[in-house]
Amino acid sequence: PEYEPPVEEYEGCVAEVQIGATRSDGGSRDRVVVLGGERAYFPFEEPRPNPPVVTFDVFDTPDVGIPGPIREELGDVIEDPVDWARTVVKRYGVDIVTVHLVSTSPKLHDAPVEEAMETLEDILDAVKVPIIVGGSGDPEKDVEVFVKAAEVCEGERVMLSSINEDMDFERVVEAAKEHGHVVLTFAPVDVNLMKSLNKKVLNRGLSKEDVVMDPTTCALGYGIEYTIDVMTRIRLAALKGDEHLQMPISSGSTNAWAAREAWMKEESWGPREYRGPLWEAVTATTVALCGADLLMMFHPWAVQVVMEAMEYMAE
Amino acid sequence: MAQLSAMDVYNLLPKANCGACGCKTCMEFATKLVNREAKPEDCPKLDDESLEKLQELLAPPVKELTIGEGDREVTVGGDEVMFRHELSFFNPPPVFVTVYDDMEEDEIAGKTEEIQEFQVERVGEVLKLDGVAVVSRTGDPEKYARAVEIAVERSEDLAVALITTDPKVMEAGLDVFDERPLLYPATEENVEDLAKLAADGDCPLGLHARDVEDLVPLVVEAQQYTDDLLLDPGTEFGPHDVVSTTDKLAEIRKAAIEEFESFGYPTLVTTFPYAFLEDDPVKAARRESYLASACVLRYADILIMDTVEPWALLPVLTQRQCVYTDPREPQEVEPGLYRIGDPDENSPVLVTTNFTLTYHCVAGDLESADIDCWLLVIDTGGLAVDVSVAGGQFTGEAVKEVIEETDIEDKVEHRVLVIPGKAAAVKGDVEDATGWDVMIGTQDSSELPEFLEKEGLLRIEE
Ligand code: B12
Ligand code: SF4
Repeated sequence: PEYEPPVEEYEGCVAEVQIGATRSDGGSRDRVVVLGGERAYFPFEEPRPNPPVVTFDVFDTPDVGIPGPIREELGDVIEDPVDWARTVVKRYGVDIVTVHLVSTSPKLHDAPVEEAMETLEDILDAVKVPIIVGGSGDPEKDVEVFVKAAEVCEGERVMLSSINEDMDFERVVEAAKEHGHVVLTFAPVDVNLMKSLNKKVLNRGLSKEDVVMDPTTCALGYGIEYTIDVMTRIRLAALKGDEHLQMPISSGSTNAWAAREAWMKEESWGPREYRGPLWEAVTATTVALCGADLLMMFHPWAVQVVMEAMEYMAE
Repeated sequence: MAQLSAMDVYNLLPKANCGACGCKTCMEFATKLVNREAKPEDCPKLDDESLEKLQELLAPPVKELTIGEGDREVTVGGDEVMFRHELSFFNPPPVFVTVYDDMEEDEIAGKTEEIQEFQVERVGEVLKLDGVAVVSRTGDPEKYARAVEIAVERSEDLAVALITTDPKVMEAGLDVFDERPLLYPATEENVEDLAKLAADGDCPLGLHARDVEDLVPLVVEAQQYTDDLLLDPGTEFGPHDVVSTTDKLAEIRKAAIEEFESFGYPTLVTTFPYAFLEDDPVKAARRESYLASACVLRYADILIMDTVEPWALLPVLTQRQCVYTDPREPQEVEPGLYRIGDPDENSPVLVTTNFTLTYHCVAGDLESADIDCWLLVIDTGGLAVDVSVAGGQFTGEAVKEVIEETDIEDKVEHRVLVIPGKAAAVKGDVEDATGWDVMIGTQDSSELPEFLEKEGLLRIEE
């Protein structure tokens, strides 16, 4: 029998989204990150033009329940977000960093927006990789944070992470449009909700090249099968030509730590120092194989293993 | 990969609507057949010819086959879709763990016992290992035979794989154990000899090539002797292991589903060579775990590993449990009243939802802390706490319903309910609907025993 590799021709493709801007683009980054661009589902059909990218999570306060094994691994740097960002870029060579401005949460420190902007500016000075600006998850405060961040980061093409239906997201979209940033849309594990939010965002004048989507990452053992199905269906729809799902996919792979197998002290499971990072690496890799283009992670071992592996998606 | 329609199947049925198959109509039976919830043999009215036609029509593009006999039997393969959401994946991949003929005899015995006894409980299910793989490293038939003998003696219900490229060594192994072990690896060099052994002993045969295409001539050659084959396109080791290996497996599976018949067999993945490639056993086990977990998602039908470390096996077995749940079935337990330990009229009453994962987390945490209590499981249609709070299934009314149906009011003297921390938003609603006092518990049920103790809720006396 004559063997022909089962390579499929797809009608659609995923948009390419650039995060960060160099001097020549009006920013001050040393390099940029490009996500997406897939024209096939499996790498054997066609290698991914841009391999999935790992972004290291940095929080602007350590008071957010950072799992023990990560505190131990990172040490004192978690006390200072600027130090944290600088260290992970230098030590682990990550291509992009996410700064979660969680201290702004009214439920946490309720830090004023201006204070968060100072942190953001300090980080933009301290590291020269592209930046993702994360909110605190508070639907009202986040709008204020993102609108201001869009202004403060003028020219840098950051990604604002994230907007959802529970907030006045239109204001964030306007700000992103005005200042040339990327937005991350979020919907809880549902293809139709994801699609309808993207549609609204595109109707407001952003293009596919300005949007990344997060259809929720459920941890290994805590519903990863839902995420597997949702991401797969989204990517297949994109390749079939559904314009409202043709954005790169982002994954909060740190959700892996929601699973008790990752963090709980339980002798019969073996040391959690080994379990946790594996849990994160497996969760991230699973979603990447299903289509994710951006992996938000924070355990150094997991980050390194996954970064190394992802390079091969593009070969 | 046109999926079979119920109509295609219906046309081959007797159309007698007699009900003997347990379905009211032949059409209902046809639907069940397509969904793989029934077998053609269940219809007694089918003549031999139609039965055969149906079996052929319904045969999945990836052959389903068994390894071992009796208690040692495992079934592998049988898939018909690329993605689980299209139907479901069938036959979770068995995990075999290796022993080696250059180990001391008591080491072989010891590791085999570890493999046999390994178990962890997750979500009400006991996760176990499925097989022992005896690997020849000495090339000495006698040594190998002895290793197989020990592995078989020290295991009860593990399937067996015999791993050697040397037909003489393989024969020595088969002399000791011939209950359908898996023979592996048949390569370009030895395929004829091993295929003959497999055919004589009625054993499944694992083929190994360096690449996908190189498997084709191997399959063709082996098919002259046997049709019980497994395909190993060569695990890749190193930083690219996960991506390259899963990509090869995906290629094979896609070809199979698009009806390239030479690839219509289950796949086999080995991660055990990492034990020899890395000097540090922790590094080796991590690498194996990472690679095997990814291959569970992407089309491995059998895994052969070296590690027995629970921390390394847990991700693999968890991934297997998740990927192989049937997406067509809600993951739920029966709503109602559950007794945890030995509760009485002063024991606390706790509320949770009937999502399998939620129920087992909560029940497991309470049981392992030896708490005596009543657990009221409400019907949220199999949704987790925060999901059902957000979606409106976790309501006062839903709690009231189980309270009434289970007569809990006759079983306890107090009227205090503890609800999950994540259900804090419905506290008032539950109070109004039930008239009970409602206390908000912890976010995670692992902190619940401590909370009950601290709040003095272990015994509630008026
Ligand atoms: C998987 C998932 C889904 C799956 C549901 C799978 C299922 N069977 O439940 C699907 C895709 C169906 C889904 C749908 C929706 N989801 Co959803 N989903 C999740 C996700 C990712 C995980 C939920 C989970 O499995 N948790 C694990 C279980 C074990 O947790 P649990 O039930 O809470 O149990 C724990 C505790 O509550 C506690 N506990 C349990 N019982 C008890 C009892 C006592 C006495 C105590 C003290 C403690 C306790 O211990 C347990 C172990 O830790 C979460 C995000 C997250 N949390 O990571 C979002 C999430 C819950 N979903 C959310 C939303 C909004 C929705 C939708 C409304 C959106 C939509 N698609 O329309 C729907 C609602 C559907 C409906 N109800 O009709 C939001 C809820 C936001 C909020 N809090 O208001 C979340 C938080 C995501 C987000 N950040 O936006 N979802
Ligand atoms: S037993 Fe056969 S003939 Fe009778 S209803 Fe079932 S499928 Fe139809």
